[in-house]
Formats: sequence, C-alpha cells, structure tokens
Amino acid sequence: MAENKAKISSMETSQDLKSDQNEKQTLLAVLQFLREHNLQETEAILKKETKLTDNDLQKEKAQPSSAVSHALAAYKSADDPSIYDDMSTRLNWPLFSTLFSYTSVKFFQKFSGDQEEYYAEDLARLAAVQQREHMEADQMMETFKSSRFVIRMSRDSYTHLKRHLQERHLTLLINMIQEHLFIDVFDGIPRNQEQIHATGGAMLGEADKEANKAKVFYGLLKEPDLNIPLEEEDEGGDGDGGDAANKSKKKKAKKDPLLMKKSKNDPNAPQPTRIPLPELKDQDKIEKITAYREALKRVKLSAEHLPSICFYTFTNACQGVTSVDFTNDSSMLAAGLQDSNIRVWSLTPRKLRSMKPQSDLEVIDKEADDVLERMMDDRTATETKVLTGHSGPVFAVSFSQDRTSLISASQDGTVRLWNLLTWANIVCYKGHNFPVWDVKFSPHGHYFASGGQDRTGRLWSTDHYQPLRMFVGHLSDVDCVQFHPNSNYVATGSSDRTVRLWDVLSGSCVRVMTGHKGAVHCMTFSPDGKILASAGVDHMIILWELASGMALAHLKGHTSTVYSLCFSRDGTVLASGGMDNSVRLWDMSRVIEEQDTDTDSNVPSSLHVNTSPDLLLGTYYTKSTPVLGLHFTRRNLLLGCGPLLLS
Amino acid sequence: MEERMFAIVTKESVRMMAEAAGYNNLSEDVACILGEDISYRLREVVMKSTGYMKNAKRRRMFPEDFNQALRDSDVQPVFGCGVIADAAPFRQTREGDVHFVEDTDITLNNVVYSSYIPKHLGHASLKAHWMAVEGVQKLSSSAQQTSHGKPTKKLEAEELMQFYNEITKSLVGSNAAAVKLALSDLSTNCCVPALLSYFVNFVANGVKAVSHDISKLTVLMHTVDSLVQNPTAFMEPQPYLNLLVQSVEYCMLEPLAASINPQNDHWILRDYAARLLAAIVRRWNSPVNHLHSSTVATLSEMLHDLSRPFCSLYGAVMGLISLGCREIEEVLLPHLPVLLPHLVASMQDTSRGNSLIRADAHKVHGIILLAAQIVMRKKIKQFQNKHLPGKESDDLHAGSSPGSRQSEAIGGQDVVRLYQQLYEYFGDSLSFTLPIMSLGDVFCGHVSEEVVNLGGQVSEASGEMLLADLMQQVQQEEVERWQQRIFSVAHRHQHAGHSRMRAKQALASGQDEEPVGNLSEREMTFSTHLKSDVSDDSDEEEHTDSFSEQLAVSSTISDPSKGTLKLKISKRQAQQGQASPSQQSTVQPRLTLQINKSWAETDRHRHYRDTHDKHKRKHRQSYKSFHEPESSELVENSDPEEYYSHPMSSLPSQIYSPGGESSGSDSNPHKKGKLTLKLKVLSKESASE
Repeated sequence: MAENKAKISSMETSQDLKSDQNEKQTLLAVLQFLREHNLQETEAILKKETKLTDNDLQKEKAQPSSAVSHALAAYKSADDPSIYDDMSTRLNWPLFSTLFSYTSVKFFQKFSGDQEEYYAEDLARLAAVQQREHMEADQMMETFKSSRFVIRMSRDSYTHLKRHLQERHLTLLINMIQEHLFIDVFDGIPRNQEQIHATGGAMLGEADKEANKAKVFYGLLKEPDLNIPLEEEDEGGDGDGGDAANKSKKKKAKKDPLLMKKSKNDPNAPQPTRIPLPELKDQDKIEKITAYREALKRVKLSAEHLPSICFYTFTNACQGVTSVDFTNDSSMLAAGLQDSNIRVWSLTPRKLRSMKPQSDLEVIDKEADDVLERMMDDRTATETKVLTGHSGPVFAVSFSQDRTSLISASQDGTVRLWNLLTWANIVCYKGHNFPVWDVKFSPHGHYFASGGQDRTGRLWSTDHYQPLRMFVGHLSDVDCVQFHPNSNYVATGSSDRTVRLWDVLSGSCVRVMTGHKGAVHCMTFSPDGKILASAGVDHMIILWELASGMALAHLKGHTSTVYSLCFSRDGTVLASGGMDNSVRLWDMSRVIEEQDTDTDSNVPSSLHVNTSPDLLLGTYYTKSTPVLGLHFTRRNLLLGCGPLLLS
Repeated sequence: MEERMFAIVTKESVRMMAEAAGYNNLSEDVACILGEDISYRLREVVMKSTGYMKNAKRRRMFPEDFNQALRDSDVQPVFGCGVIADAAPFRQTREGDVHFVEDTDITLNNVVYSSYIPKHLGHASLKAHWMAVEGVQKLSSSAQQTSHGKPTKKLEAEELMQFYNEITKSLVGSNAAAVKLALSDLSTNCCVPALLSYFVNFVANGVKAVSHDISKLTVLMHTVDSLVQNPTAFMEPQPYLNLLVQSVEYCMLEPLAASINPQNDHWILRDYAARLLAAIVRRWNSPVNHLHSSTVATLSEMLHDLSRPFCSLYGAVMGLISLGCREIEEVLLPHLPVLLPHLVASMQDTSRGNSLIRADAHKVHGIILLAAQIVMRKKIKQFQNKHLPGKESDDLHAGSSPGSRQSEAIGGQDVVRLYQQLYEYFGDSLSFTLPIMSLGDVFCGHVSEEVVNLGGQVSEASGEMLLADLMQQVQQEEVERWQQRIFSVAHRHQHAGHSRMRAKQALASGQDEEPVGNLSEREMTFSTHLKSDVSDDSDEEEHTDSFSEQLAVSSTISDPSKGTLKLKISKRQAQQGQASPSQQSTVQPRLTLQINKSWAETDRHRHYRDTHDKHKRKHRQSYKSFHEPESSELVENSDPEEYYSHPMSSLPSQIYSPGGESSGSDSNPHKKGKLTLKLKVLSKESASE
C-alpha cells in the first residue's frame, strides 16, 4: 500500500509539469521507502502506517529525494509535451481520489492543491473525512472504491504511459491503475487540453466509448393524421399514432417545419408503437388542433426578433417557493412551496373551478356538447387553489398535457398525483424512500419519471403504484429528470455531474454525457428532439447532440446556478434563468449553423465545442427575483416566474 | 487546504459540553476523538443540508434544511431556531471563548394573550409585469449596475459618496457660484437617485439646524427644488417625498428662529417654499400617496390653529394659494369668519408691544386678501365664460331670452353672494385687482336700478343747482338701494348748451322710464370724450326697447364747491355688426354709479360701467372708482390719481350689488384700451375737455 501510495505520488508529480521541490522530495522519500520494503509486505505495512501518527510518515517521507528527481527529470525530457499534457492532469485526480482512502491527511494536504479546480467540491468532501472509520462510512469514498474511474486516452499516450511505468518498474502503480482506473483507449490523435477540459468534471471520469454507442431514436413521433383544415370544421383524424400510412387529405401549407415531417418516415424516429402510449381521446384531438392553430400564429424568433418576456413574481412567498411549472397552453401556473403546499394559479381571466358534487353531476345531460363545462361548478371559481397533502417541501411539480392532472414530488419521499378537476389528491406513489428531487410528466401523458436522493431515476405510469423502470447508474443524487419529446427516452441529471439518457423500453442507459463541472439541476430537449440542453451549479449550459452524445456548445454567461431552461417553440432561441436574477437568451440557430459536421463520436479528438460569446442574445434582469421557471407559450411569448427575495 | 476549513470541535469544547452533561472527568484522548468525530458528523450533516438548500433553489440555508438532514441521519432535530433563517443572536461570555444563545424565560400568557396582531400580513400572490418587449427591457440603473457585477458597484459607491460630500459642502458654503453650480448639477445629474436618501436626509436635518439663517434655508429650498426637477430622481415610492415635503413645510410654516428679527425677510422664503410645495405636490401626487390631500390637511390644520403665530398663518395661506384656487375656496374661505376677526383684532391692537405682531397680522391680511381676489377673479371668469359664450366673437347679443337671463341671473347670484361676503371683510380693496364685468347685453339685473334720466341741455349755471338736487336724490336713492345701473349714454361731448345726455332706463328697475330728454332736475354735466368719428347723428338715435342692454346713466352730482363733476362717457363705436338694427347707435357704455353718501361733501365718484367696444367685451363692474378704458381708440384716459385718491377704508357698508353681474373692480383702469367712463371732478375753472 505504501508502495502504491508512493507510486501514485510519484506518478502524479512526475506527470505534473509544475511539480515543485516539495513534491520531489516527497517522491524521493517514497521511492526510497519502496526500495526498503518488499512488495508483499506493503499492504500490512501501510495499514500499520495509517494508524501511525503523522509525524512518522513525515519522517519517512523526508529522506530520499535525489532518486525521484532523477526519474522526474528523465521523464520530463523524454516526453513530448502534448502527450504529457494529455496524461498529466487527467491521471492526477483519479489516482488521488481513489487512493485517498489509503492515505493520510498530510498526503491530502500535499497533493490536493494540484488538482483541477472543478474537483473542488469533491475535494471538500474528501477533506471532511479524516478518520478511517469515517472513510468507510462515507458515501463518496465508497463510490471511489467501488467504481472505476474512466479515462479516455489515445493509443499513443497509452503506450507511452505503459512504457514509462514499466521502465521504472512501477508495477504496483500499474496494478493500481488496472484495478481502479479504466483507461479507455481510442485510436487517433490525442485530444488537446481544451477538449479534455470540456469533457472532464464528472465524478468518475468520462464516458467510455461503449456508453454512447447505442442508437438513439431522437426523432419525433409521427403526429396522428388529424386533418386540420383551416376552416372551422373539425374532422377527427384516423386514430392515433399507430397509423403508418399517411395519405394526405386536404392539407394546407404547413408553416411549421416540424409538421412537415408528418408524411415522411424519419429514420431517426422511433416507431409509434415502440412504447405503448395512450390513445387520443376526442378532447385530445381538439387540443391538438387548437395547438396547431396557435402554432400557426406564433412569432418567429431569431437574433433580430427577440421575444417579449412577461414575468410573474411571487410576492410574500417568504422564500418558500421551491418549484414551479406552467401548463403547455400557458393557462395555469403551479408552485410547490417550502411549507409542503402546492398553489395553482390561473394565468388567464378564466378562473379555476372545481367539479360539481356528485348529486349535481347526476343531473346534467351527458350527451350535451359542453358537458365538460357543465361539470364545473362556477360557485367555486377562484383565482388560486391550494393543494395540501405532502409532509415536506415540494421540490417538483409537473402538469400533464391535458391539464387534468398535476404531479408533485416532495422531501417526504412520495410522489403525489392530483386531479385538477376536483382539486384532490388521487394517488400517492411511494417508491423512493428518500427525498424526491424531481418529477416530470411525459409529453404524451400517462407516464411520469422521478429522480431522488437514492441515486435512481424511476419511470412510473399513473395506473401502477409501482415504478415500471428503474434507472440505476448515477453515482450521486439524481437532481433532475426530463422526457424526450417522443416519450421514448428519459434524461437524468445528477450531482455526479453527468447527464444520462435512458431508454424507456429497456431501462438501459444509452448515453452518458460528461462535461459539467457541477451538479446538473435542469434540462430540456429541443422541440425537434435532436438537442438536449442541461445546466446547473457550474453556471454553464451545455448543449448535447443526442445522436453522438457529444457536446455542441458551452454557453457561458450566468454568474450563478441556472435553474430553468426552455427552448422556443421553433427551437431557435434558448432561454435560461437562474439565481443571478437574470433571464438570458441564446441563439440556437447559430449553434446549429456553426455545428461542426466533422465531429465523429469515434474520434474524440474531433470534438469541437462552441464557446463563442456571440451566442448570448440578451440578458434581462429582475430586481431580486431568481428565475425559477421559464416557458415559451405557443405563440413564442416567454413567460418567466420566480419568488421575490427581499434579503 | 487550511487546517480549519471546516468547523472543528476542539477538545476544550468537548470537555465543556461533557461537564454540562454531567461527565466531569473526561480524559484528553477521549475528548480528542470525540471532537474529531463530532466535527466529521457535523460536516456530513451540513453537506446533506446543502443538498436540500440547492434543490429548494435557494442560496441561504434554513434551520429547516439542517433539521431535515438531522432527521435523515436519525438524529433528533434541533428545536427553537425557526424555520426560516433568523439570525441566531449569539452572545459571548466575558472571556470571549464561549458563544451562547440567550435562553430567556418567556411568560406564555403574555405571548398567547397579547393583542399585538402584526399588520401587513401578506398573502402569497402572483404579480405579472413585462420584463421585456420584443427583446427590449426598460432600463433601470440598478439593473445596469449589477450587470457589471459587484466590484464596479462598490467603486461607484465611493465616488457617489464623494459627490455627495462635495455637493453638500458647496451648498452650505459661502461661495455663491459654487452653490449655483451645485444646484444645477443636482437637477441634472443622474447619480442623484442613488444618493437620494442622503440628500433628503441632508435637507431634513438642514432645515432644523439652520433655522436661524434665512440664506441657508433658501439654499436648502433651492436644493429641494433641484432635486424635484431632476428627471431621474424618482421619489414616489419611498419616504423621501414625505421628508422633503416636511422640510419644505417647515420652512414655510414654522416660526423660524430667524423670523424674530424683523429685518430678516423670511416672507420671501415662505413664498418660495409655498411655490415649491405646490410644485412638488403637483408633480408627485398620486392616488397612492395622497400627497395633495395630506398637504391640504396640514395647511388647513395650521390655519385652524389660531394660537399659532402669524407667520405660520401666512405660510399656510400662501401654501393654499400656490396649490390652487380650489383649495383656497375649500379651505380658506369657510374659515375666514373665524380667522379674520382674530386677525383684525390683532391689527387693531395698537399697543407698543404688539407692533411686530401687528405687522405680521397685516401681512397675513394682505395675503388672505390676495387669496380672496384670486377666488373672485376665478368666479367672475367662470361666470363670464358660462354666460357669455359669444364674448370672443364680437357678438352683441341682441338679447337673450328672458328665461336664460333668469338662469344667468341665478348663477350670477353665487358670485354676487361671494362678493358680498368677501366685501364684508375687505371692502373695496377686494376689487382692486378684479376685472370689471360688463354684462349689459346678456344680463340685466332684475333688481331695481336707480335710473336717472338725463337729457336736455344743461347749462353751466344750473350745474350747481342740479348738483344739489342730485345730491339729495342720490342720498335718497342710496338709502333705498343701490344696484347696478346700466347706462347707455349717447352723448356728446359736453359743451355748454350742447351736451345732452341720453339716459336710458334700465330694465327691471321698476322705475318709470323717463323719456329721454327729460332732464329736469337732473341735468348733469358730462364731459365726454368721444372719438372723433362719433357723429352727432348717432347720438340722436333712440334706443327704444332694447334698453336693457344699454346703460342708463346715473345721476351725477356736481358739487359747486368742488367743481363740476364731470362724467366722462366714452362712446363706443357702433361697429358691432351683429347688433340689432335698432342698436345702430354707437355707444353702449354701461355705467354703474355709486355715490357714497359719506363722500357727498368731498367728492363724488361716479362709477360707470361701460360695455366694451367692438374689440373686447370685458365685463367689469366697478363699484368703486375704478374702471378701465375699454378701447384705446375711443378714450383718452385722464389721470387716475383722482380715482385713487380716496381712501379705501371709508367704504360704504352697503354693497353695491347689481344683482348678478357683480364682480370686483378692475385693478388698473389704464390697463386696456377700452371704453371707459371716467368720472372726474373738475374744478370750476377747468374747462371742458
């Protein structure tokens, strides 16, 4: 163990361009120590040694310095700086972290400063652990011990490293690497510092090449043929998305390019029957037609035509608003509060009404056209309704597409389904036993996904009290979940700084996307389903291309955690809001234009991340209201909301 | 990484906690290990609670987060810290190494049964606003500042404070140019909003501090003015407005220390302050802050408090005047019956010690007079506007229908009543500045008017006789009633034997119309100034029935001892085309005459009201000796001294009310060129003009 430690330290310092005298000395000491002991005895010795006081270790480290420096010098001069760069920083952290359990405080103090800045959070957590007993109990330490840190390296770098290790007989280090690290070798040019930095940051390294190989059907589902005439007549379409045939009936000029794909078979779109989706009721068809009509009237946004923003401020909220959600047609706004209530407001002049009691319902004529209107009791019309039921702060709320249901997730570990006609709690889903951080309804209704502190994401459907799928793979809390527009995939963002895409059908993880340097708190898919945007504590928004799993752009500008993201209805503008009290608009059309078409996921060195500052179209400040929710209406008016913080 | 990156519970603390729990003999090793363990657990819990904080989308950790993390670790939560972050008030022991929270005993009864109900309990609600319209956000300076991040703001804060210090220094300094510069800067500089609280504070303290120094106070008032004028300073939502208004009111209303010395002209300061106050109210009044109503309330309260020194009253009245006529009407006038006697009592108290107060009282009286005049003027104007819509166009109304005449009469009654009321207080001085109303063609007072027929030839020789007779008669008339006389005089310039007066009788007087020419005892001598183009012919014409619009000349009295009272009547050119054919005659001067009995021995004044000429219909009414020349072309004004020579104070108690068309007299008889009828007392020797 001591040898491991020594070797690690030697590796680190030898590969660190900026190794200073102190480290050299330490390395020498370690090497010397190694020479003094036999390999087989190392484990026992190290165990003994960790129980020793710091002073002993100090003493032992102090002695040999010359040998190490020689080795170091030789290594330095021999190597090509580019490759050097490639390996040095990246091996630093994983070796440090995985071996932390075997080391002492002194070790930590000596080498922690060498680590990359974005590991600061993890370093802080490690710093808290100082006793062996604590180490064993700590979650993070366990993670490091049990999982393998992944490093992607070019073949040249890898061979170079191997040769170097063997030359210096640092076999233990080799063993260590084999045991705790996973070096994923790819053929090709080594990546440069920038590219490495772009994908670095996750708790356990990057995604290996197998992780992103699966095919993702990122296209949109074929819309049901609804025959939407421009006249007022309303012809029902022929069933739901189960119909592959698309004889075009009397169609008009479709202004929406998204709808253009109706008639074509998108190779990237999943089959409509891939996952069972509920059939469209008449009400849903009417809804779709209305949506289509609204879509025709929407404003085209671009860098020259920025959207208007209407902002809703929660006043007198006592710092208690923890989550918000808008309905798809922008008619209602729900807010989950710290005091475990949920408040729903109506954003239209139309008030919120409750359903009539049963005795009244029996009397109404069920065949009437406006039965849905007659059902509602106008005496109960109010602007806002309160839903009570949770026993802890409500961390997420989500409306269903048909606006009849609301789902909420809370710290008490339950997910509750509320009916918005009767304003009552219908179901309580108990699966997570730990706080549930996020919950979202699927765009097609019926399914919802949740993620919580237990590091899992779960897929539920409203008619089953147990989850249908469990998405296990994250190394830390799952902070946010999001459905793909075709409902076939669920994306989860976690405190382990990765974003994973899960297939609903199989439950397997099809994409692992690394690059965030802080926990991911919000995600959103573009309306065409090709791009995923995620953002979080590191103030950065990353755009991922789902086909390859590679990052398209890093949008920098926010100065604090970003909690809300929303694409415009045509996908040309991305709006983001966060704790820095600002709403920022980003140019998506430009990102797509400037997209480097040569990138190939098989060739990591071809990664080109767009970090141009011109992508920021505008910044809009509130006085002291963090922006918790953003939503583009069907006509591309941007709605934002947040609680007014007076302190 | 530092040693003390996280909270570390030291051995000593552990020992102390153990002692508090009853374990007195804790060995060092145990304490050490315990300390480390506690520190680790603390960190762990804090890590978890940051998770709660982040997912609740906050930056501040609440005690609730911490308690939740404790519950997750199967530890009992800590009670008593509140859910939302209240700063735990830690106190230190004298030695300073122990921090504790005061654990006071609370009597539950007091808490439970306390009647204190916090006000302004807000309900969670939603408020919408437009953050940007088509990508454009209405800029606010704070937003711009924060966009550059904190460091810039800090820097600016220093610069801002510097600016503030410089400005305030130069304002209180003695360099006039610096003061001027500072004031102009204040009114335009856009960093004023950031410093608004400082400036308001400066002014509020300043007025109290330098209340002995008029010039400094003036400077402070100018400062307020500049601040108000600054387009970027937005004072409405904050208490700035109240403070500023209070400061201004202080200057205006308070008996300043400086005002003790009568050499200090604090009146100008008060005037300025009053105007400033009005400007502020006008600009910043809103239904939200009720600035206007509260200011008016303050002023009226000041007025009603009779124990206040007169300078305060002065300030209050001045304030009301500046605010507007309506305020005067609503607040001041109803209060006059109380206020004025008090004032007059003070004014008449001629004791030595009272002289200063008396002077002040005079000032106040003057200002109230001004207010009254303003009100009267406005009323006249209103009345004129209402009842003489055609006055802009040179329309000579042939005659309105009797019905409308009645209603006009009634409307005019209010004006008259008001005038009567005010006249009681002020007498003739009221009409000093009031316009003369001429309503001859619209309205004819239904009250009886004294009419004297003039006509025929009057010889000089019989002038005295006539005068004597007339004097008698006038006295009689005066006893009976005085009302407005309406004259229409067609006359010629007085020459011996050629003058003749044509007097028409006013309507509704109830008196018999004396035919023209029937100037038996009442021959008068008039000297008229006529325009050359007035022909004799026109004089001859008789106005038959539409006399109501015409004036009837009243009697004149000529006192042989003082000379002939000359009545100058100017003729109006008959160029009112719209006039009815019967009214081709030129002049329709309207005169009212009031003869003061008490003046009978001294001077006779005749007041005539002329209708205006073709150009203007200036309706005026003069009860006193002032009248305006109506048209420059028609009249030459004679010297006004004689008209002003009589003291105003000796006014008749009777008010000459012409039943509806009353208004004050004009201020300046020579103001406009109009037809005037002037009364001049000529000495015997003075010849005709």
